[in-house]
Amino acid sequence: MGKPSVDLFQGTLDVLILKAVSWAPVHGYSIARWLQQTTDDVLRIEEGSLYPALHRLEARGLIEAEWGLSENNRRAKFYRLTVKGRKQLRVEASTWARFAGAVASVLGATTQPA
Amino acid sequence: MKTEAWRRYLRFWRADVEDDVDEELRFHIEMREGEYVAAGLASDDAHTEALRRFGSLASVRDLCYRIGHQRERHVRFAEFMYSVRNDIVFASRQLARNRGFTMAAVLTLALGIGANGLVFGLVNALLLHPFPGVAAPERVVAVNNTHVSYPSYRDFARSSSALSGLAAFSDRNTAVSDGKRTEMVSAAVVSGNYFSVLGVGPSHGRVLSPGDDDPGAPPVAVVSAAFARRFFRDGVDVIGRVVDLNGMPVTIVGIAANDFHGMQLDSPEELWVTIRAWMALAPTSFNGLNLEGRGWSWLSMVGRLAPDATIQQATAALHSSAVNQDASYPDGYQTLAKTITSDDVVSAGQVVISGIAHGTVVRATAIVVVVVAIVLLIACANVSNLLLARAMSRRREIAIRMAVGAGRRRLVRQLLTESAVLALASSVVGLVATQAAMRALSRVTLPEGFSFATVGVDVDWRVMIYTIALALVASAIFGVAPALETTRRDMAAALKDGSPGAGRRRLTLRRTLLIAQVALSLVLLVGAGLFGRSLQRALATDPGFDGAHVAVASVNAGLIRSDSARTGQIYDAALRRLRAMPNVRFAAWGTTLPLDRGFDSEGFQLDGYTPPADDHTGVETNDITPQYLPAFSIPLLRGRLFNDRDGPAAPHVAIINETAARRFLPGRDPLGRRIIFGSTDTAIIVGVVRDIKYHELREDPRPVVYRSLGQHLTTSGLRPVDMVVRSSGSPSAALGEIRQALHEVAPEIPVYDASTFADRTGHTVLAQRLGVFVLGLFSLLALAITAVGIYGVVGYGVTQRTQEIGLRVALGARVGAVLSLILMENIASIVLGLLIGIGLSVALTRLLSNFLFGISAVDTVAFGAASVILLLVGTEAALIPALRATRVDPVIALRSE
Repeated sequence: MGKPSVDLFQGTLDVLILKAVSWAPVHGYSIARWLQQTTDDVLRIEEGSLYPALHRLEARGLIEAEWGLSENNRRAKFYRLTVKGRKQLRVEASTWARFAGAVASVLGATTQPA
Repeated sequence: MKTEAWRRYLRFWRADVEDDVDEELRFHIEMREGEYVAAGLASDDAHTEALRRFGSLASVRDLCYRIGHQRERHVRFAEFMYSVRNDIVFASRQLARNRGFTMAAVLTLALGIGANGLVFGLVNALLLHPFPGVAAPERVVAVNNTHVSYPSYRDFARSSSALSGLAAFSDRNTAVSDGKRTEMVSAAVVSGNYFSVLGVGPSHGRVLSPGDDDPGAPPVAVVSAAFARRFFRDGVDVIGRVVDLNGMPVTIVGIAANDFHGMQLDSPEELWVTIRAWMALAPTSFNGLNLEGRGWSWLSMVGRLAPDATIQQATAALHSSAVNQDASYPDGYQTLAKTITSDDVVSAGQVVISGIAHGTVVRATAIVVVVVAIVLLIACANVSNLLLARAMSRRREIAIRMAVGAGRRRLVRQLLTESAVLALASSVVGLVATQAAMRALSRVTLPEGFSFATVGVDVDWRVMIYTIALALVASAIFGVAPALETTRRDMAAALKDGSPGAGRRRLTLRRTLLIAQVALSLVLLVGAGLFGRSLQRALATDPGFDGAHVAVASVNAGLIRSDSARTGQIYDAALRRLRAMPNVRFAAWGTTLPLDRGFDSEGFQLDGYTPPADDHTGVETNDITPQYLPAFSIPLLRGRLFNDRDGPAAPHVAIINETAARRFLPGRDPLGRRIIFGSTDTAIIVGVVRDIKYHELREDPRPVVYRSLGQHLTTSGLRPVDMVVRSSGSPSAALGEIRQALHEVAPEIPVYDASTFADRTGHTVLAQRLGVFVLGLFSLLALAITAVGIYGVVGYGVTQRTQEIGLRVALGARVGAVLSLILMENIASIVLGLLIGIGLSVALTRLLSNFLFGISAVDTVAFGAASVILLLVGTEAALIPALRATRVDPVIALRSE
């Protein structure tokens, strides 16, 4: 893994998880894999750190969990976004977009500071 | 790490946090492992790689456990709070529906809880933090019952490392004048470190500092906020003003902060000057008293414990300094080591209320605490009774709820919640009542000069917490038995029929409560009776004099620097003026009043009397003018009274009382004998008068010598003296005349403590009066509550047995037979309660014995009267519902079967 990687900002993992569970109920392992593939492994998330984050989000009522069967017929814990979580995701996503846009426009600037 | 199958089923009920976490994490690692195996890794390598990718399994697992447990706790707590909330809402609705029951219960409980809150508030103010303004009062130690000289105080202050500071003070009545008017205030003469030791700062200006106590420092004073408000009504800035203290100018430099009023509860200090300043101002009667001498013991001491020092260390240090001083100055007038004991060095909270020892205050408080606790218990018994009665009317509701599966535990919790809501509502009502009672108390000043306003009695957070906690405890006391009884399984049977079985049981429980109420009420009644009898005895005691028409007032000529000749003129002129008034029968001066602050005592020699070998006791003296004895109607037995010819120039004369005659000169004629005071003052005994009570009503006869005030003006004349005026009308009407007469003859002399003699000496029966008031009030309360309780129980019994009674009436029973059927068993309960109550009283009234007068704590009259009253009231309360039973119409009663 010789690619350059960036460290995660505090709280960023939470948004990523909210996004990951926003389509359908998924278990922790598939969230880990999804994050890895979607980001092309740029964000080197230690897989273990996913779980405390998931459980905290669950405690905050942003996601909820239930036990179900995985694709290979094993018992697995599936997470899904709550109404409250969806609202939170919307807020955070737009914050991120504005943040990223702002940073990008600074970095893409062509005129120097006066 | 295999999950046992049975634990899986528990999930239906409640998830197992740790198993869930383990399983979830294991799933992840095995999935990752599977992926690596599929990609061709060996199984071992796959496992290692999966773990590496995961990071620290142990710490993630622990973190997840913690999050899970925390969440679990939150959920459980939220569930619990939700159910509590539901219970409270339900309980409130139930209580609101039964308005009559709720009102009765809340009022009864509020009385009990309010009384306890009030007493706690007093204890809180009196015993726990009685000194407003003092920083960290628990670190302040007072040396009780000990007065020391100035050099001795300085030795003490130097010696003790266990104290971070030791201050000295002495409260003195002082005349304060702003040139226009003069007022007597309680001034404290203090060492320069007084304020710093007590941690009291100024609200304006500055407080006194050690520099103010240096020889030659300008005389300055600090005043209390209350004094500043009262004395300087014009509102002009107080700081920098000059007032006359005993005729000498002193500059006010500050106002003490936070209502600080010194360390004495009964005489709040209003003005502070340093010891050196005071000596410069000292009234003439201080002549001959040397600040640097060890013979003049006049200072009280108060200190602050050094950090980490204990009160025992402080006591030991003070004691060893006392021992040293006794050894260094063997001619000292007192042995210091004897006076400083561990009983005297106490935390400031235990300071005495002038003369009333701390122990007495604690004992009196203990009595009142017990009394209000009993009132609360009686109230609890009554509410228990009400709840039991209510259980009958609710049996259908309860039975249905149990039938549809409500657990007994849940129902009991629901019922207890109802009790708690009831108790909390009562505590709110009780607190309002407490607040009102405290307001009323703040306006009361007891005869000793102690006012509740000084200690700042108020409903603060401590009182609130105490009251609420007490309400919850009470709700457990009165709620548990009814709750258990209401939810008994055989209540289900009640759904079907009247179930006499359950009814009987409940009646037994109610009868037990009734017996307890009667017993407790009797204790209070007996207490009230004992105090009543004491008061009666005390008031019936013949003090040997008649103070009924006497008015008194005090002056202190020494304070205005009058000399003895001028003083004599003032005294005479005032008497002449008063005697000219038509309603004044006698007017006189005396250095002491009977039953007041005590007599002076002097060493003496008497012709024909040889005192026992080591007896140096002096005799008590009272220097009076001629009409003093007639004013109090103290009869002359032999010889003559003083008259106006017994002036300074005439030979000195004395009158002794009969005990002095009998004790010193048994069988001999005292008239004409010489009595010598000190070494030079020789008087001839010219008369013998009847004994009176001098200090307190309980005392044994004691020898007293009366001397002519006109012949002792240089000493007694310049100290506080009391004017005594006997008038033909009401004594309070004479007060104005006394003030006016004194003002006309000497406008500069302040008059203080003007009152009727009865008011001035009211404290002699204060304990008995307060006892009658407190116990009388609460025992009447208890009696009323108990009567209602008896009424309720008997009425309930009658209702229960309506059919039986109807049957008896139908079969020809007479009214008398029905009455006795109902009354007999209830009277039996009351009598049983009385017997238990008598036993309890015998055990408890011993607490009172210190406060009783002339009767024993098991006084048969008090016990008998209390029992009879209770029996009569109890029978009356039982009779009303019993009479209802005799009017039962058999036809209706039997038809209702």
